Amino acid sequence: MKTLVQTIEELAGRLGRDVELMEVCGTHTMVAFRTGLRQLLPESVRLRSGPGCPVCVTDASYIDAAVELCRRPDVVVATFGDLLRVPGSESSLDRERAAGGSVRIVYSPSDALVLAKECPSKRVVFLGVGFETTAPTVAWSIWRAARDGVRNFSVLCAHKTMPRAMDALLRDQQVKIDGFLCPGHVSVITGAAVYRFIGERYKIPCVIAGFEAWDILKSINMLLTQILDGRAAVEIEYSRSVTEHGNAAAQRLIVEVFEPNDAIWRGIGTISGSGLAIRSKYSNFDATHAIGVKFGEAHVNPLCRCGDILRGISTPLDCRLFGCTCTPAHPIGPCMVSSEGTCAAYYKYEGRVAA
Amino acid sequence: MCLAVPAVIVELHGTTATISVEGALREVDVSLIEDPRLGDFVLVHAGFAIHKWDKSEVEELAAIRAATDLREVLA
Amino acid sequence: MTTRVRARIVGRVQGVGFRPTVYRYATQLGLGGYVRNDTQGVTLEVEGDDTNVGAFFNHLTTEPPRQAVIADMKTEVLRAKGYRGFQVVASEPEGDVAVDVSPDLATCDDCLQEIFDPQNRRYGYAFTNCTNCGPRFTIIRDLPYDRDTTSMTGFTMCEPCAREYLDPRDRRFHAQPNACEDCGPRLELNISGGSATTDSPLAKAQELLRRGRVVAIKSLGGYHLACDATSTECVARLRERKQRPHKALAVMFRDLPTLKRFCDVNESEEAELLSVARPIVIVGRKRRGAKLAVNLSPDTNTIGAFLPYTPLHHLLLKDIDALVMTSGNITDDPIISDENELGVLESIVEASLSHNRPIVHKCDDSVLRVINGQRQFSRRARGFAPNPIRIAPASGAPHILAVGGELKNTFCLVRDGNAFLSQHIGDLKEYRAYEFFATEIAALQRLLRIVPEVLAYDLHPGYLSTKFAEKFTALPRVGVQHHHAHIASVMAEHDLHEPVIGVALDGTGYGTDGTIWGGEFLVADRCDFERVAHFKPYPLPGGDKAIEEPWRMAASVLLTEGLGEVTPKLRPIQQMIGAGVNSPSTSSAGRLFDAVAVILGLCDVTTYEAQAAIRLESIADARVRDVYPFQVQTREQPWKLDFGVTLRAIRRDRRRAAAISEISAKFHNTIVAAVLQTCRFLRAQRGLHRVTLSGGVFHNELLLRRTVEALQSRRFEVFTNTAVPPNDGGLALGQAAVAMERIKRRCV
Repeated sequence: MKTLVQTIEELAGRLGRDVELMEVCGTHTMVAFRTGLRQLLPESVRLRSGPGCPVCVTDASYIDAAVELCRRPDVVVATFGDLLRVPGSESSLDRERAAGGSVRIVYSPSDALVLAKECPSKRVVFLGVGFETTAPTVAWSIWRAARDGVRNFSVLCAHKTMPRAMDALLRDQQVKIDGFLCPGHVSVITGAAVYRFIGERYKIPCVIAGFEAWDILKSINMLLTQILDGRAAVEIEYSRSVTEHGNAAAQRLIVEVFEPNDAIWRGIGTISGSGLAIRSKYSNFDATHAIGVKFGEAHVNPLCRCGDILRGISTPLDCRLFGCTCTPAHPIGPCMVSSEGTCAAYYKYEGRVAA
Repeated sequence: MCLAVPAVIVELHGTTATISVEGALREVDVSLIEDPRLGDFVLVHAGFAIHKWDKSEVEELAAIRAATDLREVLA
Repeated sequence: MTTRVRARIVGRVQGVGFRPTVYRYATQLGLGGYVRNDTQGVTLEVEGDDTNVGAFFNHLTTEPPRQAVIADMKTEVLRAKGYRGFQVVASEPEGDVAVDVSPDLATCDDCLQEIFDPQNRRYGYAFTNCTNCGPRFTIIRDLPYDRDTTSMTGFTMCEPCAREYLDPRDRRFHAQPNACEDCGPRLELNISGGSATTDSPLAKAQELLRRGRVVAIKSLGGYHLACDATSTECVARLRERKQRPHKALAVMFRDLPTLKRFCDVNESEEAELLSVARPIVIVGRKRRGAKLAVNLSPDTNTIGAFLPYTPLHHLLLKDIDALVMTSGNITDDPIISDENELGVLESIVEASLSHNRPIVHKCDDSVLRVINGQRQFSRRARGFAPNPIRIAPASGAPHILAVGGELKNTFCLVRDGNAFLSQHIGDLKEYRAYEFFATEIAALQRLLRIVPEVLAYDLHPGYLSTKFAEKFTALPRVGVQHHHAHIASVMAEHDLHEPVIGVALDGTGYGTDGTIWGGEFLVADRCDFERVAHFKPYPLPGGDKAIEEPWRMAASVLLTEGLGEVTPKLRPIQQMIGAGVNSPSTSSAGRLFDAVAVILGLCDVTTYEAQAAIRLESIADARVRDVYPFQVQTREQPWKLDFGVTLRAIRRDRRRAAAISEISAKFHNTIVAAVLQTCRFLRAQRGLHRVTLSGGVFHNELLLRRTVEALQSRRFEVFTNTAVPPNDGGLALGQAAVAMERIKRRCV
């Protein structure tokens, strides 16, 4: 461990300028904070958190739509637990549940499918939020629902994919990135090849990192080495799990059930081709077709800085609401709610970590 | 959302399996990985096994875990 | 050699333990004579060996009583009369009143100790006070300061209290509000929908507060609404009932160490918090600190914090960390000060804790912040009013009444060069506030023995204060332009007489050309002014409505600059502006800040005054020092500060998705740069190097700091309001100063 940190210091010294590295994986955010490893980095090497938390980048209008759904007497909303407390314009799923709305927490989309089979009189809507790691599991449940004729099951789909978002960040003039730490488990599914365009088009190096502090430090080492050498390749540090081409079976499922669409990323806006929409052949399992969903305009607290924080151009400390008006017990924005959110991480660990 | 703890397959039931995570048992779907066998270590996400590790990779993870003593680094 | 000296002392010398101190010093030195209160102040005679007499005066002037302020002392040497012993003699009520009325004084440490000492007679007594602390202004009906001229007149002292009152060595010697559990004011708890109880009312009130109820508390200057400040749910309930969704709520903490668990406080702020005036001080709130409700101040990360100032508060907060203590009133009505007025609070509170010592003068808590070690008042009231501010040498000039403005009204009575600014009155548009205004003017006139001979008022023909002044048809009246009054208030505070560059930035003030001014540069002295530059005017679509709905101002600004697309929502605005219907022209700086706040998506309609601008300041990134382009057009007089190019640049930044924190900071910096440049031009042209900054927009701390910094770095001398608010609460002082000057120069 010591050697790794020393090497980073040496490399940073040789570089002689500030570097901004961005990670785009919620688990990386959490590990970095929990282990205090940002404290170990020299001043000139800055590790920024980007939009790596799928819950955080979900637009408030999606939450509003889900809230509206769970108020319908014939609908049961099934969701991963971390969406529960995300604030929408006026309410959250958690509040709705307390008020008697039908919200069920599931660990897996297959549980939601089982729920649908067990409650034929209710329409079960699964909230499909997540990146490429989750998408194949949801694709599987849609495919099974089709095969088994589970007509009361549908998915409200807000899945997103990383490469286009990374592209958008690189084109954003406000955001300064010298190197990417690529997400670990997304890459298990997608494979390393999807990031090649970053080196080719933007000459920015990428390293796919694992989830131990050691992995992240090693990856930073690899990035700094590339920068010094003037290279812009995609390297796999997390070779335990990531290959060049990823999980073929998972990718086949995704392509079978989904097609790319333009998605709204909270704080960034619409990024073309960055979302996954359910193909028309499975439209019976697309909640927007199957039961009709209302998407309206969301109202967010104008002082909330989640958007800028997700782009990596502000930290939670720059937000007036942080810690005073916005706390884990009373969150204003998603970054404070999600277990992978930057604000939640700052709140929990910031005392132990040099900002 | 991402579980990075290796889970070992203790029972197979066609497209699903029972895995053990440090003693805790759970059912997961194994449709997304090739040729699952009893005793295989898998990476689990949202109730699905998404990657199969071979033995050397599992050992590497254990070694990293053992080596990571941050107190030593921060001292 | 035996000698006798008579001294007449004026200043704040009543109600501050002056006579007991004189008695002590005189008897310690073996002198004979007397001391008494009269309408002029304190008169005393001491007789004895001339070295001792000298020592006496030396002692008195170097160690006066803690709260006393000796403004002047005239002595006469007389022949010895043969006094035997020293006496405190009854007060003399005749003559012209020259005494300053003491503001209310926070409970002193000695009394505090007594109320928590189970052996003490006053253990747990909520109305404990002494010559160094307690109610003053709020209970005084008339001068000289005596029990019968206060609202304590209904209470007859019991024997032990009377003994204290008569013993010159006692801390309660002639302490007019002196009382105890047996003979003094009592608490009563009224539970809504239930009956009143005098059985342990304080303990019951504490219990209700601990259980999260909202309780009305009769404090010193009026009722407060109190609830547990550590509970978000509690505060949410209070906000809902009071219809106050966002405006900040003041919080009283048990003591300083408790306050510091929740807030970041520097040395100057600490001094203000502990001062005898005990104002509400706006301080930084600790993030992730100890548990405090999240909705106390949703638009900022500051807290209006204060410490207990009466025994009642100390006792209430004994086992509670922090209570919301906000004015007991409906919207902007004056604070409620009597049980009969409690009806309006019915739907808000679950109980009320009252007492039977009448409040003679309603008085809100004062609110201030400390910037660069100096006070900036948002509201001047308890603890400060009615302290005078000296604006001219005592001269025998006519008495003046300056009636102030309309919003945040205060009025000012001047006698002998002393300007007595009233406590915060309120927004005169509310009829209860107007009533308070009229009755308090009469009350203070009587109290201070001032009969106005000249009236000063704001030029706005619609202001109710102006209309009030116009009724005095027999008296000479001085109309003072709004922004001139702001500038004059700074000049008066800092004793400036030579012409200055006056920068007055506020939301609205009537201009001499009939338009609404607000971003003004005046070359001014105390008599007159010249408008040399101002912000470029824009239409104010819908008049006052544009103030509550700043999106209208944003629309107006964008449409005028050709920067906005005309959406269906904006079409009526465009028509209004085009036809000149209900769209008066305004050069207001405040409205420009509002517009930018709307453009950055921070606010569409406001729920309290200046909310848009407060959010804009709140979000600004203080590390950003960049500036947008701007123009100061000097081709025509008066010069115009044109921010059209600034708005274009802001739009460009919006399009490239720059962080709004950055845009806001750059906008602030641009205003600073424009002010600096205008001042530099004026200095070059007119040789003026003194700048006064005033107007409510300067409550924006970022703007104020940067403007002062920029001007000082270019060797301007900069003056700001430190004794009265820079908002309309300071107008009356400026009006008074102008009236005084015009009288002096015989232009009235």
